[in-house]
Amino acid sequence: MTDRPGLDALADRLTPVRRIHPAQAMAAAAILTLLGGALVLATLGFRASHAGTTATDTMFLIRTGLLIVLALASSLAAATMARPAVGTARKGWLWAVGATTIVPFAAIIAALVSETPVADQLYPVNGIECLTYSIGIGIVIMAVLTLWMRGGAPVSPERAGIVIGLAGGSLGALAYSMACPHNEIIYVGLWYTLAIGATTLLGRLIVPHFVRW
Amino acid sequence: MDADDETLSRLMALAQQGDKTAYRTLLGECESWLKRYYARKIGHETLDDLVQETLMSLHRKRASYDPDRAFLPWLAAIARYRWIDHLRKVYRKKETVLNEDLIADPADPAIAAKISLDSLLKRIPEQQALAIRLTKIEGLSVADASQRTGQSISAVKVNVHRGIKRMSAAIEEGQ
Repeated sequence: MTDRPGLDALADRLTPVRRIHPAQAMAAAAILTLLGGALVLATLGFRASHAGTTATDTMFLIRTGLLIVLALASSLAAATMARPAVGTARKGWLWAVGATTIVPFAAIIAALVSETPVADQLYPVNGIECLTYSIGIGIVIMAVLTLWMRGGAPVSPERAGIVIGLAGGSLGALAYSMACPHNEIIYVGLWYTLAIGATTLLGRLIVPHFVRW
Repeated sequence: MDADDETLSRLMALAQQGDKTAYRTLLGECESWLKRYYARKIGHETLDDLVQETLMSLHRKRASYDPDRAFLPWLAAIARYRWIDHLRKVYRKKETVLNEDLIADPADPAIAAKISLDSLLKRIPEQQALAIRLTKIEGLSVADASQRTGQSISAVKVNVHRGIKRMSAAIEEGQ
């Protein structure tokens, strides 16, 4: 390009910009999750208020821990993708996905060996409620992360869509988990996986259209 | 590259604050660097357009640069993104003349090798890289590339498509 005035014109158009920072996205996701959790508690109540469940049930603690790990890894991946650089390894979220897939696998095994009919452990009414809240809150989080990501420069819009979907789904599920009264691995393996899978698919299909540049 | 990474990073930090003089200097340096970066990876007739597009992307996405990190890996990520976008769009017009006289002569060869387009092409299978080189960089028709490589016409098309897709997923991966 020997057109030097082109560079002059570009320089003339320069205006100060506020640097994009991953902390902005992480803070927005955290605030929205807290608001989502507050909505869940206000409408459904905390899980300990349901008969037979407590805040210290092993499954609740494990589920909460796994969702936090998946949410942190995917949110961080999404947030850092906005600032690209060759030589950047962003594989942490894949390990988190790998770790959490133990839940649906364990659910399949439990279903295969269960003496109680599987249908009796699915609780579809609660399951639909789980999907509604988790996906609903997740979509709001995804929308905000996508809007934020548009200010950045993700060089893999498809991967950005996947991690935004994962982040939205896991944070939505985390918010709903506060009210979820179930401890059965089959229930958790089915409905939570469906919720996070749905937002991830949604992210992969829709988000790239908005963040491509 | 005339200016080192530290200088470019400082210029970009000033540009983010609205310093037009620093920005103009930076753009000039980036223009020279990009010409060398794209050397022999794009036809001579489209080199200027691609450099221009990349500089426009730099301008639009300047808020995404973090001055605490190196500048060239950020610029290279943007340049790779634009290059792959260009490969997707380009259709054969005529056999392309490559800029044989433009050879990357970086101040730091180790960094340059890590962020180069060659290192990206090396990340995909050889047959895919060859199909991309012939049809998208040298400007051969699919039929000519098929004859040259011994791959069928459909194999050339598939290799180009898959190769571009794989490179697109590996933009941020270094050597």
